[in-house]
Amino acid sequence: MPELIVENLCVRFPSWQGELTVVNQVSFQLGSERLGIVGESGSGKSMTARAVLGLVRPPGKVQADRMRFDGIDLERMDARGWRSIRGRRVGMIMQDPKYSLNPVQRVMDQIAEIAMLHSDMGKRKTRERVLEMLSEVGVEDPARVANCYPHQLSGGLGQRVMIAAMLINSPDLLIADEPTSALDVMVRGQVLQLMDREIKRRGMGLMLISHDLNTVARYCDRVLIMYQGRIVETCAADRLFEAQHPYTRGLLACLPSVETRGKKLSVLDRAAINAEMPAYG
Amino acid sequence: MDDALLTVSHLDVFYKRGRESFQAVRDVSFEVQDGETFGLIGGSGCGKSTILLVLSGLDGHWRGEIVLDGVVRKDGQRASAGHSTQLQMVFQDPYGSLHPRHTVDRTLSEPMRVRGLEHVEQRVLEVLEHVGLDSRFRFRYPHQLSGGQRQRVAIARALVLQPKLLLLDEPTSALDASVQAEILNLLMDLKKQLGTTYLFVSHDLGVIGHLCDRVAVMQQGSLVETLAPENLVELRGTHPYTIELFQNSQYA
Repeated sequence: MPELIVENLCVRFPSWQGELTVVNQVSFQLGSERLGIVGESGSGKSMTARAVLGLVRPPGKVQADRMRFDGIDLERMDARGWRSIRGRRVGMIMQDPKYSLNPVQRVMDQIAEIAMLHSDMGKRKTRERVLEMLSEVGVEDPARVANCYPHQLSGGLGQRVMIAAMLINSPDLLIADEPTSALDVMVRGQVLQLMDREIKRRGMGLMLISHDLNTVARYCDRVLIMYQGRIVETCAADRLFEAQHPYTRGLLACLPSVETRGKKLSVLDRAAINAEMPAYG
Repeated sequence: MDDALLTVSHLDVFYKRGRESFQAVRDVSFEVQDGETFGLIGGSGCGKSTILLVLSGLDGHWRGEIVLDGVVRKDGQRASAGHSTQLQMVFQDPYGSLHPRHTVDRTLSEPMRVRGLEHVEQRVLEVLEHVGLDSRFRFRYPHQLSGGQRQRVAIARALVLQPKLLLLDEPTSALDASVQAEILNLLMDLKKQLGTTYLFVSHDLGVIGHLCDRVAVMQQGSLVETLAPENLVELRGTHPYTIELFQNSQYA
């Protein structure tokens, strides 16, 4: 199984206050398992995923002691090399299908385009494959959906289309960056279960980025908790609720539910957490 | 009931879609008691936000009757001038709901100036204090604020005219969990201080269960059931859709 190895990854951006380190010495390995990355906005979780796919735009700078996927050195990759990895070996699903699908292209055309980029299947064959793929991801009438423009689809359907587009080249690793936070609760469960099923069936790896602890606990094997660009804690997903770091504990405690009715929710004590953090360097 | 602040009866809302007309809300009736926190929950497109738009007077394509604090509106009738002091709304996205080129001060004082009220400055400071922002924030622009601070400003703007009813359209769904906790605590504190009635729209069952006294469940434009507090605490619905919704919420 191809493995993603990341050692001491740093992503830096220049700012008025000097260089800002948004991802700070992050290391992890990922094989055919489901890895969750949780943290708040600005914790560096999305930047970590972007760095892995070479999507950090200048003036951002990526640096790592080692960053390899299936033995390929991701640090010394040119545009051509990236094209053979992105979409083909590593797929990425973003938060909102409204922005990640092309608004002026029919569903059929955009999925077919992705498929044909990476294979030499004929046009007709590809179109058949697209319809097949759409029904695999639970689209009930693939022919109608294939003929739609993205704005004619609901959020849940849009995200299924996105998943179909990402799975059509059978990548080894799927990076999902908040894949369900733009969807409503009823559909969220369905989309996550679909992703989970396909990942297990294909024996793929998953990197699931989310701010939602419950989602990650349910759909991952292992979880990294990030705060201010660093990994503060790593634990098995089923032990997430016994996590030790004050930041993780704080995140768990601030979730509202019927049990917290009428009580004040606890809020993060950032001063205490920062005191526990190792000094920047 | 006699102390209902808001009564909505047989509300229908239509949208024109080409030549056809699409019914977004069908025959919805409910009452919100004075001082209550009333929740509206349902999937996207179920009509919950549409109801808020109609109540706030931003939408005129409706039929039925709305009685707010004794003032009756019927069949698409526009809201009267005093409407804005009875009801205000806080929107979902604090990035989109504040004017990017108005300072916090201007955002907060404009509603009062429009109504020709006095002591504007004093009230601005007062309302900022209510939402837990100190006077340093008064002359900042929205882009100089974090998401949570912006939502505090949006709540302050809604409170500045001292409305009886606050419409909250998913006010925390764009925020981080820890910031959400702060805003929910703020809303609870404000309720204790000011006694404002809340109509709270959300699809997050945790938030609804934490905050609301009663909750109405909506599906495809219809209100399928209203849960009393004791049923809400135990997540006990009778309608099949409610049961499904409660189950799905635990898996997402």
